[in-house]
Amino acid sequence: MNDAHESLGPLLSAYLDGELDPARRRLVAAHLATCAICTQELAQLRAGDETLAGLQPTPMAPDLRPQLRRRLRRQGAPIALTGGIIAVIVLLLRSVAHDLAIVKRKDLPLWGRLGIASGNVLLVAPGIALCVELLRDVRMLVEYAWLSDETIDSGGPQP
Amino acid sequence: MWFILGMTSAAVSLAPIPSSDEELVAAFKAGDVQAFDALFTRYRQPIFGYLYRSVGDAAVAEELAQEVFLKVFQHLRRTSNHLRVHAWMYRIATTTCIDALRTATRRPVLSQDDATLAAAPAPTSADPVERQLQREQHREVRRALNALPASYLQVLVLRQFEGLSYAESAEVMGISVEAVTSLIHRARQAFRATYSRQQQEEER
Repeated sequence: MNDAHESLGPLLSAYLDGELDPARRRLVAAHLATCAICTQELAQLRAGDETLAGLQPTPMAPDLRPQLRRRLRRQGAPIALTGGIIAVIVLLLRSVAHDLAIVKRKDLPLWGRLGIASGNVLLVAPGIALCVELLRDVRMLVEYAWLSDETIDSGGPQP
Repeated sequence: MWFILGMTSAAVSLAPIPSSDEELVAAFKAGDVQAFDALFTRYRQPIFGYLYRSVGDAAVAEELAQEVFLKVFQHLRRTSNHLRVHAWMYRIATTTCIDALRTATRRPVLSQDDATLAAAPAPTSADPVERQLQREQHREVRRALNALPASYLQVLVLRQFEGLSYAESAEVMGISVEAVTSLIHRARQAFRATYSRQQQEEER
């Protein structure tokens, strides 16, 4: 009985909530029929739930949009700055690649020049992709935080 | 480029308003900020209510709800296509709330401050005596909840007030269903013990 008591006792909450699979539910029910301690524990858990129900209903949520938009506006500057820095780095990398002018060298075979050109593209492409992503972030942020107050507040989509 | 990026949004804006969470997320990922607003409208009350239940203070809940929706706006575009939006929203709210509860500067506001505890929503009963009893009951329950560790408080609120299943609670809290089963049981026991101790202290 002690083993069953120790292993099934922690399942009493799940039993109360109907969260046990049928096999374990039957085990707990059988144990409850023979264990006064667990039966009392179950009654106390129920009483605790009734006590918790004494909490008053939650108040209505305030309209959080103005504050949310204000906070989003503050996010715009750092994102734009990051995008700008990345754009500059990309341009610098391109410039370095261009200055090397390896691609234009006629003393290298075609496959060698194509390989180097591909390498340069691979070097710059992630930066460009990141810039596009950041630009999209900034555009959506600007659209929501600055430009869409009237359109959304006066009849945006309702669930 | 700005024009090209904007075209997607304009195209999506003309489309019929999607109804499911998943459709709204897909529309937002395609650049439609009104889809975010629809999600915000849908989840504002549940998330605020959840946070209010967790912290017991409307002003703090409001501040945390802003933080939650700020994170949603920032991260939603880069989420997986198989995102379970409901659980994800509650997960962000839970981590935001637990971080706040653990912040030393906020904890005293959330714990046993009588002014905060007294600022409860209006009791529902018309009878003045009954209203006073309801107010007292609310204050005592709130005091016991605020004394619990953050994880106990969160799991109790998720289960008892938000009505999440054990599987959903596990997903929100980022732990296994077995761990949630054990956590809910210990949280209930801790609440009962704290509440009983308070009652005994009141009677003395």
